[in-house]
Amino acid sequence: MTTTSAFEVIKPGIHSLIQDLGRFGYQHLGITPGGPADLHAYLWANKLLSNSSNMASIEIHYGLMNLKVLVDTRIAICGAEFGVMINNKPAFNWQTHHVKAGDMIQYGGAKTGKCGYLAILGGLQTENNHQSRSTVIRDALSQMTSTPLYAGQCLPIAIQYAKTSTAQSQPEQTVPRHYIPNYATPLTLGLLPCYQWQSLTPKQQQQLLTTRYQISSQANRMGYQLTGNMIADLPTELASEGIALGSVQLPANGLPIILLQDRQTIGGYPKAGVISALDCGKLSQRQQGVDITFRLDNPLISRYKMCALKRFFEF
Amino acid sequence: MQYHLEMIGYDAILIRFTDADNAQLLPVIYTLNQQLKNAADLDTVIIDIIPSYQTLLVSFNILTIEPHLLVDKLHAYIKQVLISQTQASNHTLPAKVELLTLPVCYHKSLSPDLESLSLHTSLPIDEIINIHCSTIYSCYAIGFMPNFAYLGDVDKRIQIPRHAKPQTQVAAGSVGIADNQTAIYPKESPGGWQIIGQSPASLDKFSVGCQVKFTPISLNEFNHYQQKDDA
Repeated sequence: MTTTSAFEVIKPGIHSLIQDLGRFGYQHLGITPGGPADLHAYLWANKLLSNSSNMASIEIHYGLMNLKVLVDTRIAICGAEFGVMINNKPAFNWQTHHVKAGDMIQYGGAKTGKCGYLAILGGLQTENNHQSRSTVIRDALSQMTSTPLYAGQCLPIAIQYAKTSTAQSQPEQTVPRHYIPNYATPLTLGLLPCYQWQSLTPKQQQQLLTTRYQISSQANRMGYQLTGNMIADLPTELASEGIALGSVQLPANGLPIILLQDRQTIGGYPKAGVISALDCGKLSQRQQGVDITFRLDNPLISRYKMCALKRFFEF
Repeated sequence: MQYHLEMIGYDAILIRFTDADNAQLLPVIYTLNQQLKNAADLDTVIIDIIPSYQTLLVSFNILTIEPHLLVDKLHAYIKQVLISQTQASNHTLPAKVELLTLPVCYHKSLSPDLESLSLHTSLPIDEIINIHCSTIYSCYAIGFMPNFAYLGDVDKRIQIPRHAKPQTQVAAGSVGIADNQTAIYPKESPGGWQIIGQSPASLDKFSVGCQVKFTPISLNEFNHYQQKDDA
């Protein structure tokens, strides 16, 4: 495929990564799936451009990224509210924008939420490693797929998506208001009890479900450590076993850690259950100090919601 | 052999074996993993399988199968594997399991914890190397980072607990011991294992169930390997 540079990174921002849906089929080698921290916002950004759902986008954590546009094309902006400007004019979130060679895209800091997505028509064509372009820093599979964006970097797209006349004639697409979440609210996560849930005492189970936790400073793509009432006398470490996305791990200190996209693939700490991929996304948009509680959830309903999401976004 | 299946959330099933030791389970987990990977009827169903000491975590595409149908299929595969294992009289790995021989240099410049292991075990360094290289290890799990293989069992005479406080930087290729396990760090990382040598070998050949043997090399040979890699 012939590619051309679509963006030059002027300022990489605090932490900006490339993400597609993730790197599946290699967890038996200890390779973590990665993928978008917030599936919902990521999928909408591609959908607005009629991209397929696995097309690589930029995942911007905390903002402050500046890009120079090098081709005439279309982009979509979704997720956290960064007050994005294109050529010093406000560019609305949750919609597409036509951009021209020479345009400047400027991200401010995160006003609400934590991470946003910038998708581009046809998707970024950065290095595909183990069937994914997702950046996972800790896995160090290659330089490109383990390094955040850096100043001076040029990001390629397929040449047929640069300067297409159809791109220019399309009206802007917007996410319906109903689907735009509010990232500023406290969050209740639906716990699907499994793993070592039955090994917890009723009192420990109750404590997990009634404590109001807060997001600690240790919160990133690997996992979210919560603070609050510590659960005492937890089961001891066991033989390592596969860790699913959203596992609610209970280490010896009694404070839950929710394991996210860049988690280790196996681990030996007891786990109370998992939260759904959609709840993982909502959690990833919450900043340090936000209140988090758990309630018991029904796996049938979670599966139904996920099936509907997969059908709508076709992945 | 006892096992049970457990739904993990809505898109994964954990197969857990409950009444056998890890060495007995390894051939079962290895064979089951192979069968599920190659199962034509599960080709569009299974996304990832994570085999480990007593479990396999199978994540699946919720659009291509109803969970209860996958549960039925998994039961059938497991029963078939358990029957063939029982018929094999003792729990042995299939003959085609790969044996990897990996060179390790135990030179003191590459083995920061070998001397303290010698003190801890009251064994001379040569004897520790000899013991470490005379065992054939099995790979029980891969994780922590890509291609980090948990190998066991380490001979009781040279077992040592991991460092109480992890080292901030362990060199790539470092060979460590933690209790009854040994492993090689595929890349530089923080880590708590006791480092007794370094391997120049590439580490992308591990799979759960494979067997591994270490062979000692001199510092000269080690440097030669490294130059070959750089060239």
